[in-house]
Amino acid sequence: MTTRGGALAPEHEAFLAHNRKVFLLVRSEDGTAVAYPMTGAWIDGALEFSTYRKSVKVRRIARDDRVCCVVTPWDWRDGGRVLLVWGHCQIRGGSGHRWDSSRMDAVAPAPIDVPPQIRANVAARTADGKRVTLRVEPIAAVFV
Amino acid sequence: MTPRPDIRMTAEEIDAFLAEQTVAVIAAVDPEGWPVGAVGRVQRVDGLLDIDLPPFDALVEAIRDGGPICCVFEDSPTYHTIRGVTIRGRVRRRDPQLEVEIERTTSFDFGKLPRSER
Repeated sequence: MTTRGGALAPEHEAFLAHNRKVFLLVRSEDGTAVAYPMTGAWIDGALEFSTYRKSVKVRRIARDDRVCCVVTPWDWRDGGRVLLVWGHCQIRGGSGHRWDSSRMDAVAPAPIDVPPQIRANVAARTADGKRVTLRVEPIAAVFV
Repeated sequence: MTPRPDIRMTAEEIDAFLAEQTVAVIAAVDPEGWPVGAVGRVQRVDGLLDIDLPPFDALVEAIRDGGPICCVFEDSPTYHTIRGVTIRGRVRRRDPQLEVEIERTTSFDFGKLPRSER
């Protein structure tokens, strides 16, 4: 049933293209849920995130790739609908892998100003393999 | 190897942060093993979480008596002031309101990142 979501619809895609705050829900070692606030981007039919390869969340996803993305407006605490997206999370990366934050911003600018030094660090750590890209291709989605 | 910076909040900072928060993302695992979540009103009161669950059946059914639950509070007005607190616990009571006994709290504050990482 995958939490009773349906196939991705055009209105889901439109929401994903304009909202980049995402709470990534994964399963921990004991099988319980853990949520991580992230900034994501809807790229080529999937939600993508950048994170450190050695992070706990990556270890957890490597153990169980089933995730739920709670996609919200940036001002998520003010109410309004959120989109839940489920899928299997791929971990992509390695030497020479690229993370282009300007490509993400071209899709939908993040409403907070990420300092250039941070963007440069993310790109460098991705290129040297310390950071990976998490990619979630939706298998079900629903507005709540 | 450079040690990772410690950007955790102190207990006092967590208390101050949570005192300002009334909304969180609530997460659990459904009977088939998929994580599920939603946004709802959550407050920490006397060492417990009081939760108004949103009317979303998949989440409501994923939350069992005595079962685990995770709540995340987050605030991100600017990059250097992003803060968040994650609380994991177990359901102590469901009626009249969902009540959760806190087992573990983690936190982060980007304002504590060293200058070299800014």
